[in-house]
Amino acid sequence: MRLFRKSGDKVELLALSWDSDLSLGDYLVVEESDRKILLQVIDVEYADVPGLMEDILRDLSSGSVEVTERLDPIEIESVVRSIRDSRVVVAKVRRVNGVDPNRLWLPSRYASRVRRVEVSDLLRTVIPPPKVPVRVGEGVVIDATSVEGSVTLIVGRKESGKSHLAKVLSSELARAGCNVVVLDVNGEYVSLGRRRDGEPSHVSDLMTVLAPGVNFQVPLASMSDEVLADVMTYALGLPQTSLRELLRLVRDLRRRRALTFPNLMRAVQSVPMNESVRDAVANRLLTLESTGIFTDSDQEELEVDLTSLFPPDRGALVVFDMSRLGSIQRRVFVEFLLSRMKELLFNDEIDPIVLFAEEAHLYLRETYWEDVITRMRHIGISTVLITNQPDSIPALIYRQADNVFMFNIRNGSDIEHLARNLEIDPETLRSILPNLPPGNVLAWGKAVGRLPITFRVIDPGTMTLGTTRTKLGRLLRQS
Amino acid sequence: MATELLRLNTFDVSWHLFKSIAELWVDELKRASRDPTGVLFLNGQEADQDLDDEAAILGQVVQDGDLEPAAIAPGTRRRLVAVDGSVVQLGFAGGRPLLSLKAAVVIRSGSSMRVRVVGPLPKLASVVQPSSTDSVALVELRRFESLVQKLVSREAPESVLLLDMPLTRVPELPLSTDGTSVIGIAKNSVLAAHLGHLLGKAERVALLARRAQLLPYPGGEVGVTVARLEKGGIAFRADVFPADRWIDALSDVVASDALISGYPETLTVAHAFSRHSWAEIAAIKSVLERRYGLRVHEEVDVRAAVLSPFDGR
Repeated sequence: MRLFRKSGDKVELLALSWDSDLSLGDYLVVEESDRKILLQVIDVEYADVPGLMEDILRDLSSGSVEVTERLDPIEIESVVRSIRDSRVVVAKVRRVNGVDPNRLWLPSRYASRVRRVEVSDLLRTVIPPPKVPVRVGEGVVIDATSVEGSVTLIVGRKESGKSHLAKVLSSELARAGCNVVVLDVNGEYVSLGRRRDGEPSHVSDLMTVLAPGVNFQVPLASMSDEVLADVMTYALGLPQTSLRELLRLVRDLRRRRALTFPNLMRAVQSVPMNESVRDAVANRLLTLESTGIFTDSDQEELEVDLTSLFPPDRGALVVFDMSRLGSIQRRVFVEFLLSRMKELLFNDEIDPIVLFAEEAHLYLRETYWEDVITRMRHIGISTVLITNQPDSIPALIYRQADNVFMFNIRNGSDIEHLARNLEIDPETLRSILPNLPPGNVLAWGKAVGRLPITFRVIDPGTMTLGTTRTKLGRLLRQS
Repeated sequence: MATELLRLNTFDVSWHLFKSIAELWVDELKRASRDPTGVLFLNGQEADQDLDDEAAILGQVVQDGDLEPAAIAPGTRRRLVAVDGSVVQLGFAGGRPLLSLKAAVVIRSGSSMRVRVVGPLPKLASVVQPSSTDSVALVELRRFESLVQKLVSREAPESVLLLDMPLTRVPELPLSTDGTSVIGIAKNSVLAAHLGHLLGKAERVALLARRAQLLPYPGGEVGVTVARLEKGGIAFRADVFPADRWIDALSDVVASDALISGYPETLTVAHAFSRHSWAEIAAIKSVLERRYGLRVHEEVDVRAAVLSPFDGR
C-alpha cells in the first residue's frame, strides 16, 4: 500500500487487491523515519487504472468468447488481475506524531511505509493503562473509571447490538466494583444472572432483580416529603399550590404516625380547601395508589431497603424490571427511584451509582436531561443512555457526552443528527455507521482515547431475552 | 511442396515448449540484470507492423497488367484459427532491448470461439541491429508469432489459418499437407489502396494481384490478392497459401466467419486478446523487479523535465 493523494484531512492510498483486505474503521500508520501519521479507513474504491475501460469493454463485447487456456509460464496473470482490481483506500488523518505542529509535513509517497494497526495495539498507545480494566470487545479493554462519573450514550437501530453492549458494560462494571442500576423497560436484563446453559453467570452473586409492584413496594410512610413532592410534581404534574396543600396534610399525618392512603384521602376530602385543589390532589393520590408500587401495608418482605442493595465492599447489579408497568406507572416509579437515590447519595448512605437507562425518553421528564449533564455527576449518578432513536436525546447531551458507542444506523437523518452534535467528522459517520455489521460498534470518547474506533462487542454469554416475540416464531420452534 | 515443421499434437506439448522457452528467456534476463547498468524501463510503447515492400509488389503488378476480379461465393464452412501477436519494448537490459511478447490464438467452429493466450513473456532481443525497415521489436514479434503459428497449425487440420500480416512477411510459414489453408490479411496496404477500385461495386469480389515465391520453400507460392469479402466492406490485401486455392480459401472464410467491415471477426478477436494492456505492462515490470530481482531504472521524461510547463504538446 502506498500513499497516493491528500486533500485536507482526507488521504488516499493505492493498494493491490491482496493487500487491501481492510474493514471500515481499520487503522493504518504511515511511517517515515520517526514521524508517523495515524489514518482511519473510511472507504475503499476502485483505482482508475489506465485502459481499464477498454479491457472491461473488450471482455463484455466478447462475452460468448471463452479464454480456455493461458500459457503464462512466469505467472503474471495473478499480478495483472490484482493491478486491474487495485483499490483506492480512503482514510482520515486522526493523529500526527513526531512532527513540529508549526511545520507542514507530508510523508514521501515512495519512502514512507504503510502498515495496519490492530485496535488493541492502538489503544495501548493512546490511553494510559486501565486502572480498572474492563473487556468490552475483541482486543478492546477500557478503563471502568472512564465510564463511571461520565455520560455515556449507546445508540443504534433495532437489533444492532446496543443491549448486548449495555449488558456487557453493566456486568463488567458491577464486577469491577461499581453500583449499577438498570432501568429495564423490556425485561431483557433479568437473565444476566444466568448463562445460556442455565448455570449461574459471573454476576449472579452481584445481581438483584426487582419488579416494582411485584417484589418491590414502598410504604407511603417511608417516603420523604421531598421524594413525594418530586413524584407528584414531575411524574404526575401536580401544580405547586396543590402540592403545598398535600404536603401540609402529609406532614400532619406523619406527625401523628397515621400516614396511609385512606387517612390521606379522608383528610383531603374533609379539610377546607379550594375545590379544584382538592380534586387535583385527590386524583393524583388515587393514581399513585393505583400504581401498586406504594402501599400502606406492613408486608416487610416486599419492602426493600435500597441502601442494602449497594454494599460498600463490592459491586452490585440491580435490575428494575419495568416490563409490566404502564407508562404512568413507569414515570412514577423512575421519578421515585431517582429522587430516592439522590437523597441517599446526598446523605452518603450509598456509594455513587451508574444508571443504565434504555429508551429513557419514554419515562424521563424533560428537565431531567439538563440534570444529567449539570447535577447528576456531582451527586454521584453516572448515566448510560441507550436508544434506537438518536434524535430522542437532546443535542445538549451529545455535546457533553464523554463516551458514545454507535451501532449500525441507516437512517440518514439520525446520522446527520449525530454528525451535527459529535466531534467526529460527518464523512466518517456516513461511511461507517450504515455498514457496521450487527454486534460491531463505532466507539468514541474518553474510554477509547477520543479516537473513533470500531470493534466487535464480546459475547456476554448470558441467556438472551428481549428478542421480539412472535407467534410464528413459537410455532416454528415447536415444529 | 509442403513441409511438415513440427509434430505437436496437443496444446500441453506447446505449453511445455513455451515454458522452456520462457525459462531460457528469463535466465538470459537474469544474467543481463547483473550488468552494472541494471535495467532501464521505458514507458512501454507497442511496436506496430510497418508497411512492407508493397511498393515493389505494386510495381510488378502494374507491369504484369493482368488483373481480373473474380466473384467470391460462400464456400465450405471450415474451422478458422486466427493468430495475432503484439510486442512492447519494456526497456533495455545489458545494452539489449527488453521486450514483452504476447499472442492470442482464436479457434472458431461455427458460432463458438475458444481463445488461447500466450504470454506476456519477457524477452531480451536476440537481434540488436534492426533490418533496414523493421525495428528490433518487430523482428522479434514476427519470430514469436511464427513460433505460435507453427505450434497451432498442426492442431488444425482442414482449417483456415488466419494471420494478421501479409504472408510474404512471415519468416517461416506454417505449411502442412493436411489441407490447411493460410490467409494473411494486411489492414494497411498500399496495394489494396491502389487496386481496390478495380474490384468495382460487386458484393464479394477479389483479384489475384500476383503469385509470390516463398523463398525458404522451393516451389511454394503465395497468391497475393486484393479482396472485398462483404458488400460495402473494406478491400484488404489478402495473401493466400496455397496460391492455386486462393478463391476457395477466401470463399471458405466468407462462409465460416462473421465479417466486420469485411474483416474476419475471428482475427479481430485474436487482435483484441493479443494486445498488451496497461495492467499487463505494469505487472510484467513488477514481476521482473520483484520476482527476478532485476534492478530497474525508470525512464526519465527529459522533455517534460526540461520544457514543462512550457511544452504545449
